[in-house]
Formats: sequence, structure tokens, C-alpha cells
Amino acid sequence: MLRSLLASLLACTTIGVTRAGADVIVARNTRHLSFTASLSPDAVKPGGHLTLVVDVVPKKKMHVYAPGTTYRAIAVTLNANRSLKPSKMNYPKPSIYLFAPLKERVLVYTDPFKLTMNVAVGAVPAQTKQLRVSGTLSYQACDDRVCYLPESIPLEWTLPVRR
Amino acid sequence: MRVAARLACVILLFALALPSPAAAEKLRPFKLKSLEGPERTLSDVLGKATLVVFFFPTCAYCNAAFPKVQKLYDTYREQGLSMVWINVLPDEQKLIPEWRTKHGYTVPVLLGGRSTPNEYKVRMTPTHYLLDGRGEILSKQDGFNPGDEIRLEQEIQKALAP
Repeated sequence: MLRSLLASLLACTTIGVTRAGADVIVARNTRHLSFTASLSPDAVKPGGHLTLVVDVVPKKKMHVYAPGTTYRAIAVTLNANRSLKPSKMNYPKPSIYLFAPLKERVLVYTDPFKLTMNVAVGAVPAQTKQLRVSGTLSYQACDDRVCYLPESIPLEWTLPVRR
Repeated sequence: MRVAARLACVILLFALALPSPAAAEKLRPFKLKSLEGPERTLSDVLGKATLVVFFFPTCAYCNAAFPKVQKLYDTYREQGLSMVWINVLPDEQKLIPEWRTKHGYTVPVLLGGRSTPNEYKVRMTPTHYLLDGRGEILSKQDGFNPGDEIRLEQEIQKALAP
């Protein structure tokens, strides 16, 4: 109980990598949202796959954009790695936000949501003991008065290779 | 004698506690490329009153504000209002010419660099600074909601008043 409470607290207030069960979690709290990004399983198996799950909690009055608008949609981009082949990001259904000043309907996320991505693992060189998975979470948030500058937050995991 | 010394101390402390007529804060000078090419400095653009707005073209609230702000420019330019919009996202620079034409904006646009947001502590847009003829900050307004242009216009009128 105490351990899970501490893990949640860590997830809400720090940047870093922690291990909880089988996942490897990156957690970050920004001015606009908090998120945890986890990779599972906690080891890389050549020919297997990884699942990336990003749980995002927008802060009060904040919205981030979903794909399908002219604005910058929230996205996770993994850096190129010969051993990894990421699939397209799966987005949940967004909500429609009426931006009154422009009488514009835009696709946004205002409530907690989850992004998922499958990553196929290909051949891993025999001498490689650990695989570094890195990328960025990028988004642009607005509240009910201002738009904040786009953010690009680095993500990084180091997973052992199990053959 | 001791009473007089104490009184002098009290007067001195009281005087120190009073707000001093400190110099108003000035906007940090800049030298930035204009959309047309040539570099412009803050001194180049200062008018009797100057509105400097930090923005980026896909900022929804900037797009809500700018038709009204352009109108203020059109109305008060002849009376000495100068205005520049400074883009804070270099990767959106390529969008600006079409965006400007599409909306019919004529306010000069300057191209900020990667360091511009930090240099001017811009965390959100639009951020408006109204300056006097010496570049001193008369007011700052973050964001935009319908109706804000009325307050902005009043501040401009006050700044332009003889």
C-alpha cells in the first residue's frame, strides 16, 4: 500500500525512471499536465514486442490537441533504433471543444486519457546487453485564456536484453 | 538629545519605507530579422506608444486577438501607435507569410529565435507589452478573451494622449 502510494507520488512530482511491477515508468509533472509513460515487458526479447502506454492527466482548465486539427497534436516520437519498429500511436476518442472567440470546434483532450503504441523488436546485435529506448512526448496546451508554448519532453528507458 | 536622535531614526526609517520613484522597467532591447528581411531593433520600432506582441501563428488565442489588435493598429497608427508582432516559434516561421496574407494583417512581424521566449520570459501567448516612447513598459497583458481589446484600447489612448 505504502509502496504504491510512494510510486504514485513519484509519478506525480518527479521526472525519472522507476520500476513498478513489470513496467518501466517515466513520470513527469509539467505546468499543463502530468503523465506516466511505461514500457512493458521490462526486458527486450529479439523478435518480440514492447507496449508503450502513456497516461496523461491534463490540469484544471487545460486542453491539449488531438490529431485531426490544424493545431499541434500530442504525440510520442521514438528516436530511430535499428532494433525497434514502432507502430502508429493509438489515440482515444477526443472531445470537441468549442473555441468561442473563433467559433471553432477543435478536437482536444481535457480529461485523463491514455496513448498506446506497439513497438516490434527486431534483431538485436549479439553483444548488446541493454537496449536504450528514447524519444519525446510533445504537445501544446491552452487553457481558457492563453496558449502555452509547445513542450517537448525527453523520454528514455534502458531495458535488459533477454534472449 | 536622545529623543531627537530617536525621532531622526524614525523619520529615516519611514522615508526608507516609502516607495521611491524608481525607474520604470524597460523592455529588453532586441535586434531581430523582419519578415521582409532587414533587421529591426526596438529603437527602430518605438513610436509615441508601441505595442509589442509575442505570438506564434498556430496559437488559437493569438488568432482570436489579432483581428482586434490589427484594428487598433489601423485606428491609432496615424496618432503615433507603433506595433510589432514577434514570432516565438522559429519552426512556425514558414507559416507566417501565408497566415498573414490570409488574415490581411499589415502589422510588421519580427522573427524571434530559439532564445527569444527565455529572454523575454514568454511562457504563453499572446503576450502584449505596451511601451511608452522610451521603451518603458506601461502595461503587460497575457492571453486574450473577447473584451480585452477594450481595455487595451483605453491604455493605448492614455499612452497617446498629449
